[in-house]
Amino acid sequence: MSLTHDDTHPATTDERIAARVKAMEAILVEKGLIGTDAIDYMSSVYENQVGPQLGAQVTARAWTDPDFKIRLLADATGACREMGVGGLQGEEMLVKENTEDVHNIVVCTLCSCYPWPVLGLPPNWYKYPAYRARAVRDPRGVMAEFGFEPPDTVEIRVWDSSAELRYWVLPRRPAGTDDFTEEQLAALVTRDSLIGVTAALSPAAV
Amino acid sequence: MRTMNDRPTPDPKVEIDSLIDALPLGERIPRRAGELAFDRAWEIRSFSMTVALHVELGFEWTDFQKELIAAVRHWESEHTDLDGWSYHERWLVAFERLAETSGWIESADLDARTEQILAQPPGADHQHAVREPVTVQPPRR
Repeated sequence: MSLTHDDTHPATTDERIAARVKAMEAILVEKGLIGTDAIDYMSSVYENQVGPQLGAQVTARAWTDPDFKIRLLADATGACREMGVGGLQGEEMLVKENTEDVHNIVVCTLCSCYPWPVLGLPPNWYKYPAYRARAVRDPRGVMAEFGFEPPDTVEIRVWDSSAELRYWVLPRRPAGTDDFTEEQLAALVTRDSLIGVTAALSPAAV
Repeated sequence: MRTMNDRPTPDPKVEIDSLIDALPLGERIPRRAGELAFDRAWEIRSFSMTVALHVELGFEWTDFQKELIAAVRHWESEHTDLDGWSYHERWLVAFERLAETSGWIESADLDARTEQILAQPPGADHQHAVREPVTVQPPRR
């Protein structure tokens, strides 16, 4: 058994363990001993734990520091690195800003490409065919299922994340937060708002 | 799945908590605010596989408990301090051992499949960067 999978990018211990867990799941599922659904069901209880705290911090910084926001929108990977956020599966990231006129939502149409270093563990629904297909065809319908209905005057843009380029959304800063600290603001940023299926929380909701 | 973000009902957490509480070496279980803590996606996946298999196949939880104790003791026999200690790594070792002794997996298969996954270029299945939106829905009015 070789210790690395190629000479230029040796697998870290963590990558190796993650691959082993993935391999084990694949074998168990192929043998019909367990369904992916049953594992998803159990993991959904904990999926918020490996959560989007880093993305929330970056978002709060962008809301309070206009120069940082400009850098974030121009080069999300570089701006995140400034805050010590980055790593595997976040190599090239693009952040799309929600405005009064435009709302963005992210999907991976083929699999489940996702900016892990910033958003943490993807929710199970992110990889379901139902989300992957419907987010493209009927984004407003999907958002409605999450309890979010952007005004009719807003244009909806759907972005397809891939392994080379992963998107996430800069939500709009909620009203009534002018005197909030970055920490208070970060508490309003949810994983779902960074994917774009909802807005950030209002101060009354926390 | 009724809607996209449905939560499991009934919430399996109560049952999961009772399984965790039944585990040995309770003081070693990583917790945050009283809850079982995870820091990496694979930790959640490995944990969820074990619990889901217990529920689906009905193996005795005590069998897993024994493997977990053995995995922890083995680690302790090779280390004098807690540098590099990971509860979830011990969990995975125990689960692998249980899967082998139960005949669910063979270790050679698992090694080979792991190498296969590691040998794939990152995102082999979805490489191409898509730089324009895949859908634009203009305002409704």
